[in-house]
Amino acid sequence: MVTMTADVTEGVKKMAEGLIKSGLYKSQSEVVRDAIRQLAYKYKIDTAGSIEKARVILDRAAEKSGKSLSKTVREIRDEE
Amino acid sequence: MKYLDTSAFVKHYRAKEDGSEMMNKLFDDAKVGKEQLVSSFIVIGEVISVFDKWTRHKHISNDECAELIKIFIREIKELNDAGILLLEHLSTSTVTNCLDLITEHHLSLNDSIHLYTALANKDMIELFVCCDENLIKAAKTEGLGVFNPEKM
Repeated sequence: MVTMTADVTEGVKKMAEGLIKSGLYKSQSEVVRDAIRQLAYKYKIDTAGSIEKARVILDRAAEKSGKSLSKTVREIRDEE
Repeated sequence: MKYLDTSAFVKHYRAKEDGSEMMNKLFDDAKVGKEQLVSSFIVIGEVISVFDKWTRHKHISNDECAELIKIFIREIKELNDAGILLLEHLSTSTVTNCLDLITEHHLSLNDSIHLYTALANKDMIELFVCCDENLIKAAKTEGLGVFNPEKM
């Protein structure tokens, strides 16, 4: 496993280096940051409510359904 | 630095789920510089899939789902911009190199992406934070320290 992890890291580095050399991105983290910026624009996050509002919505839904968010993650992964 | 699997990450958006208090404390600590958090970019798709599933099952309305996505993306942006949350990008080589983990541990692709991403950053990661027993077992076998907030 150690060898595979080293190989993987090298592969990821090469891909990121390719993007950086292309001049499109300064670094791997910039690739991620740009994707998040695009999501922020798409979903118009300036009008979002507070995280407490999210918790109220999800706690109420969980009480009603008897579901947990973690178990739903498992269910979705098992549907793959 | 702590690696967050989606099963743990998503608890940050609850107040009353087992382990949510612990996850909210972890995020609060990160916001004041006591912790640094890392996950895979796939966490964004997985969390939104959970909101979508609860919408399909009518646990939440379409409007509530739209609001939850906005809140979630805004927080991801704020945490990433502040350097509190690092999201590792996905590539074709990520998937290629997950294949051994899938067959060795009988994991789903998403499970293996989280495990691979944590292993690729093993030197920096102090704990793999996860609430899924099957993935916890695989992470332990691969030599990662594991923390399950549901067990606290």
